Amino acid sequence: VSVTPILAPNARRYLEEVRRALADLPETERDALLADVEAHVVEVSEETGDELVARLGSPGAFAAELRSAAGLPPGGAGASGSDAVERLGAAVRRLGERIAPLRRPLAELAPAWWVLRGYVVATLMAWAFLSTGTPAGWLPPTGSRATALLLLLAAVAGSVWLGLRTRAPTPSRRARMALAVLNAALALGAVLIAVEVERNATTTTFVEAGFAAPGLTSDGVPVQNVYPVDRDGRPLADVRLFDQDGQPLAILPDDGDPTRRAVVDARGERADNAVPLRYLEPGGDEVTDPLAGYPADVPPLATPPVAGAPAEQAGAPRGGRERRRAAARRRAP
Amino acid sequence: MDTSQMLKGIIDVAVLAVVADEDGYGYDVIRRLRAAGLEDVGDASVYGTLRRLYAAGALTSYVVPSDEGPHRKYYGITEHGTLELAEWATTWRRFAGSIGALLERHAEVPS
Repeated sequence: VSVTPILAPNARRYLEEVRRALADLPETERDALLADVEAHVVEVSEETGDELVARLGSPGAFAAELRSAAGLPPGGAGASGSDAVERLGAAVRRLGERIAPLRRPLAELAPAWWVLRGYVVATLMAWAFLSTGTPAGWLPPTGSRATALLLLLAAVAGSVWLGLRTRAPTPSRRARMALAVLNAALALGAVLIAVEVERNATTTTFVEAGFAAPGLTSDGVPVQNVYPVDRDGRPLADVRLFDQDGQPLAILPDDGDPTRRAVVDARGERADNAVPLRYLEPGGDEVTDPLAGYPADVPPLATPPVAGAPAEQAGAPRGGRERRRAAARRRAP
Repeated sequence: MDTSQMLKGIIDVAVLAVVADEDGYGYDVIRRLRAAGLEDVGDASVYGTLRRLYAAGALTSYVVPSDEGPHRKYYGITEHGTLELAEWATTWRRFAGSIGALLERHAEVPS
């Protein structure tokens, strides 16, 4: 229980610094120590005015003496270390205390980390020294599969060896620190690799999707044939399809099928965009059933035709401008 | 020789003895130690020692409200502390006697 009276600024500063130097102690311990000291510093500062440090020594030295006399361990970073370092150290220690119950289960998982660590080292090494720019899935990108596996095996073995070595007897504090830093760096490496592998995986998927069926597709499925019907429901033959840019819309671009009826325009060029596709009787040059495939019973359209639409001139040549306008009309609801 | 080095080892006895005489708060204990000739004892050392003796069960403590200034934590000696002090006293007297006898024939620094 400490009731802090109005403190002289120098006393308050002094106490704050002592408190900071004791920041790593458990709260109850620190408060118990400081409860007395506060009253004391106040009293001394009243007696001596500004001579607090001359009388009590530096706050750091005061805290160190307090610790040693109370039989407590000396401060981690030492009184001479910067405040930021001391506070960081204290925070890390407190975090360590908090996660202490997790230590055992984490230790059980250590071997898994050793293997992962080996993989990370192998992949980072491949990136740094051997990269040929051809990542083979999740393997270290070394160009050849054998090299990748060899490197991976060596790195994992090394990592496990290191893990077993540092686990058994108590390693020195310095070694422990070095290992902790190394582990943190490699954990970061693991994240980088995960991101890279994920990125490659995504790219691969994208390329595969881009490979999708050539020619005309509908909802991703190749269109095998197109059967145009006019507004009265009458089947149309040899209708040529063009897209919004005036490019021929060829369904199933020539697949080398000898039974497919070849359509050629007046200039002698192939007209693969003429629908419906027709197939010849094997061994002959005739289409057995010219009406095969057309939908039966298509009712005539009730909506009146567009004024001036060339319904009767389906085969007549048209300019690109008109085609684009037609496309615009089609797109409009 | 600087007495502060010697004090480190025997500050427990000194503090116990002072508190055994009469309950006191930190600064009060320091003053009485100084008055007894232990000028080199550090303020922080006394507080740390009080805290350690308290944790070991040799001292009790209670807070006394004060009209002027902060409330004060007084320390008193426990039964355990009294026993410990008695043990120390025996050991110390024997030790001091031995050293005194050893040093008897040696000259002192002229004061």
